[in-house]
Amino acid sequence: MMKKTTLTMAAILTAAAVMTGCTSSAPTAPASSAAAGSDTAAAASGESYKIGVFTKDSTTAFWRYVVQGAMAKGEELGVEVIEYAPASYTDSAGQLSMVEDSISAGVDAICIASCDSTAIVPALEKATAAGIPVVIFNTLVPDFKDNITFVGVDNYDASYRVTEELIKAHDGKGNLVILEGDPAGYQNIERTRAVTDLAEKYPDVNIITRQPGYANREKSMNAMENILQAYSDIDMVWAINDVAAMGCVQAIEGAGRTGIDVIGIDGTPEGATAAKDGRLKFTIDQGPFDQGAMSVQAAVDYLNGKEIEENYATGGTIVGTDNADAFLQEFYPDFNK
Amino acid sequence: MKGKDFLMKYSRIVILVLIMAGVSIASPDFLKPSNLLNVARQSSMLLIMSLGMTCAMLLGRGVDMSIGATLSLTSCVAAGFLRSNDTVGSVLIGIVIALVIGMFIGLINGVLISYLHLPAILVTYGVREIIRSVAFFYMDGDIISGFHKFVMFMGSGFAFGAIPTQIIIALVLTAATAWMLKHTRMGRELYVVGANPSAAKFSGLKAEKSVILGFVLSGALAALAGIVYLGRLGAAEAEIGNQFHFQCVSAVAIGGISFAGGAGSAWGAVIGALILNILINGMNLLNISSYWQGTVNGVIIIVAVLLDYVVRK
Amino acid sequence: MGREVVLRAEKINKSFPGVKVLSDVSFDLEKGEVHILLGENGAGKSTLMKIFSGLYSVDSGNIYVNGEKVTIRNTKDSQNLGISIIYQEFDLVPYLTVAQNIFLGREPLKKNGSIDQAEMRKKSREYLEFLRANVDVDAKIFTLGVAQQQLVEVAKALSQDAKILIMDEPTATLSDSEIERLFETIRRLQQSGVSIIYISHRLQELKQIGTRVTVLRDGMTICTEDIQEISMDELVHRMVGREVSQERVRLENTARKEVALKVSHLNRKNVLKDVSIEVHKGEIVALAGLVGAGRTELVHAVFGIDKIDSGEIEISGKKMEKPTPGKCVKSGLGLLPESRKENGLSLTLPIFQNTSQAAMERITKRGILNLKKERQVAEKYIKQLNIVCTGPELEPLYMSGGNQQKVVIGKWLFTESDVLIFDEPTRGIDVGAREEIYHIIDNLAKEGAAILVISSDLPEVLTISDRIYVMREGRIAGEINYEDASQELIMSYASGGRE
Repeated sequence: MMKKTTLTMAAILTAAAVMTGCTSSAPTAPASSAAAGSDTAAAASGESYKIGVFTKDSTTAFWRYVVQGAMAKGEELGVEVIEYAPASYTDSAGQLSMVEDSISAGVDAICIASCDSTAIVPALEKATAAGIPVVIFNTLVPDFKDNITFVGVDNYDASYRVTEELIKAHDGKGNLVILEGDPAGYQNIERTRAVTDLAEKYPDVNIITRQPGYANREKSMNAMENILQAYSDIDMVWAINDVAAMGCVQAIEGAGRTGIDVIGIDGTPEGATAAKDGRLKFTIDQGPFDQGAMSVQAAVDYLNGKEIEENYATGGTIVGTDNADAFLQEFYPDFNK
Repeated sequence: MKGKDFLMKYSRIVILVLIMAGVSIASPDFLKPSNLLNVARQSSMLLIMSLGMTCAMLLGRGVDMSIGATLSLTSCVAAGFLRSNDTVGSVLIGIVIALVIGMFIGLINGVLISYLHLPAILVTYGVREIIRSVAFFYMDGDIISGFHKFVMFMGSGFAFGAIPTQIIIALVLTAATAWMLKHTRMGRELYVVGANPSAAKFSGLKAEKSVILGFVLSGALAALAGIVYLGRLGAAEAEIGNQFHFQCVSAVAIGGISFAGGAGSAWGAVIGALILNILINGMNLLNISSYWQGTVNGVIIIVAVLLDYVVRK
Repeated sequence: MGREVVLRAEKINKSFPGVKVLSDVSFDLEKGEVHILLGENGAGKSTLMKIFSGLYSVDSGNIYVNGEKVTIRNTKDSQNLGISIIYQEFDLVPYLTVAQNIFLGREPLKKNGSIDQAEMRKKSREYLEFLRANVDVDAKIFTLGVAQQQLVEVAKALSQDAKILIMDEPTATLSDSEIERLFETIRRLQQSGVSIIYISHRLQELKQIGTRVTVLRDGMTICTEDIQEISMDELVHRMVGREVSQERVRLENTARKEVALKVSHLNRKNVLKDVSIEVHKGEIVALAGLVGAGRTELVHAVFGIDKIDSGEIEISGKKMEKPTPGKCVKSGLGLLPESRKENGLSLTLPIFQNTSQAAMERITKRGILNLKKERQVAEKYIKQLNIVCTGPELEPLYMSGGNQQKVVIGKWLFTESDVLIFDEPTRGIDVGAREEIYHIIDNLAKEGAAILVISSDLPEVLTISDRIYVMREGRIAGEINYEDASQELIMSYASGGRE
């Protein structure tokens, strides 16, 4: 009798756990900019469009800023912006389902930063077939040709620029560590390609090791700690993004080592603050607000029949100690207050 | 027969020494003081978590899958509090807040497992998912960083010149846990209830009390780990702590915990955490792909479970 | 009922490590008879049946089926010989259907190898109809009542072409009308040529159904008689009458006036029926009865392990509302359980952690354990009780049964309880240790403790008790003072020979 009750309860709990796990990939309460001042705006654009904005995950700060930018633009234009994001950027299957669900829900346009640029293609093709325009932002999807535009930073470019800045600050020579993200990720491949190309351009720059930190703070920190053990002479550290870079910075400070410059990518306020305090050498802004806002703008313009560009570049500011304060004031005045 | 127990007791230390010897032969960098210190540092976090896991597993109900999520939530909430309060006093309050949350989570686990007789692994898994969501909601994608230097001191500072504070904190907690388990009645009852719950019942002991205590301790130690982790990472994110429970199970298994309950020790957790981290450190020094770490972890757990089963026969 | 012998056992001997269970046992079964097998617990009945059903092998002796000498190596051999056994706890799978159970492991197959459900159900229906059983072949076992499940077991035996059917306590859980129906079924089986070995303690029904009766005692065949030609009293005498009786250990009755344990009208559905007993300070009371009479259930109810429906429990005059083991211990009641390894000891913890287990508050001060004192306590009892061990840190896992029991005794001595219940204290313990335990119990009573001992060993009961309650089917069947007691008297209360 007892065994039966236990088994039933166990089954119920397992089901609940599984379901909770599943719901984590459901849209986080589709947030939308229900057009408050919709009268004026609606009159201006003609009708209240539904724009789906798909970010890589719902938890990283960067994507929150993208969504903020998108929402603000949505309010300004009088359109409804619906956010879709899985709990983790590894959940590409979840993102795919979200795209399909949004098509059934009748979105008018899709703006998407894909978790996996190969897996997402079929879903995007479905969207096009349903007559829904697709804006790609942040990360290219090379196998999908029918997007109306690309908004964001060219990963190769951004990485190239900020890394070259670092190399120049070291007079073109020194030992460099690459703390990459997911080695199979498209973004990672593009960003690291810039580094390896620069290493060729500057022959006195040695890439002494290349380890994956999976763009995760803890893992990057652990990897960096181990690298510090193995190599006594390190001048520069390239990290896939600010979060990984901060993990490296912690590792270096925790080990009491000095004379190592770390750079990141993304221009997050945390990174900028670290640059201001001299703990991070450089980071490069990706312009998350703009990524969100300009994607929405492009989508709406397209729906209204206006002509749009093939590419919209965002961000691009290299943030270092000198300009960090100003950068923060402009974009993230409320950070850490 | 006594010999078997003697072997059990000291075999682990012997294995530790053998592994250290093996790794140092394979890679001379291993014995560098800075490397050893590094390993000790990395082991600290795992050790604190493993102490908690030990307390929970002594009861023989199963593992506590929620410790990683507890770590994450407590560190996030404490960080949220500390963001706007910057004195040493508020750091102490932050620690208290973390403890309260951690112990409350442990209480929920304990009550569900003891009174409703539900398998621990399922209950704690469910609780973990819930706590994760709470952490996500609380942080809403934010990262909180820039803590009072006392916090940083705990997590990545150095005491007495060269000893990382994390290690000292971890060792102090280990000593405290070991003392509690051996010298207090509530610690003893964890063993008694775990070794033979039926005999404990017939002796007039209330199993529910001990089960709840075991999981509350697990939550409390995860919370303390959360605070130290804030100092170590320098930031709080909702995503952290995912890796810990599997490593913890390996560590306590190596350290001699019996999955059936009633056996295990705090110092065993030390050996377990050390062996695990030395293996990982060795793999890093030898540039073995980090993909293998998962395999090593898994193999260790299976071997430990098998040994435990065989020895107990 | 002819004289044809279908099963014969000749001079069967069987030993297990340290104990001889069957000595030169001879037994024969005639075709179509219901041969009753009688004997107290431990007499050897179940061992003999297990030999017939292939679970045990014989050390020496012969078995003949239908006149031919056979060797029964396993249960399959037994089944092939047409022997089938129905145990007291049925061997059915609750979630499968009647038909599935009847043909479990022997399902009829179709040409393609899948189970022929139709055939299975048809044949099942046939067997059940033969037995005039009102059971649906598609019903799941757990939906059936005990009597119906029993019929399924009989049908199962028939489907195995059983010609020799062994039934172990078949009427123990049946109502009177169900017993009647069972007897009708048995008669029908007799008429169709099945021979039955019938094990039962319920003396009152034996004359109704039995043909002959064989009494076993201490592993030996005592006699075989025609059931109609022997009286109940005579049967009881054969079951327990021994030449050599054990020497009395309890020389002086030290019972006092005060009642230390009082149980009034305890009821638990289907288990305990209006049970009332009393134990005085300084007194040793035995609780006798056959296995399944409800003795352990009674003490578990008193100690708070099991719930009760109604009734009152008083320990040293204090009423116990909703007793729990913890409350009982605090009130001065201790229980040494029947299964000492499962419930009495923590085998993997050292002796000193066992001896302190029920009275930890005596070695705790402000939450902290006094480990030195704890060890001393263990050492004290090791010495006092003559426990053989390498020291207080030894785990009971490595100790012999007798020494393990002494650790349990030490544990309860440390609680300084006023009332102690011993449930089968000497089971599985060698003679030397038994003597020691009897003396320990005697001394405890002399010092004023109230002792209740459950024992199935009649000589033991007579060795140490002042007074004896006999339980039968969940109620107190009789109360006997030592002066008036005898094994026969106890057994007759226990088996319903006297009511």
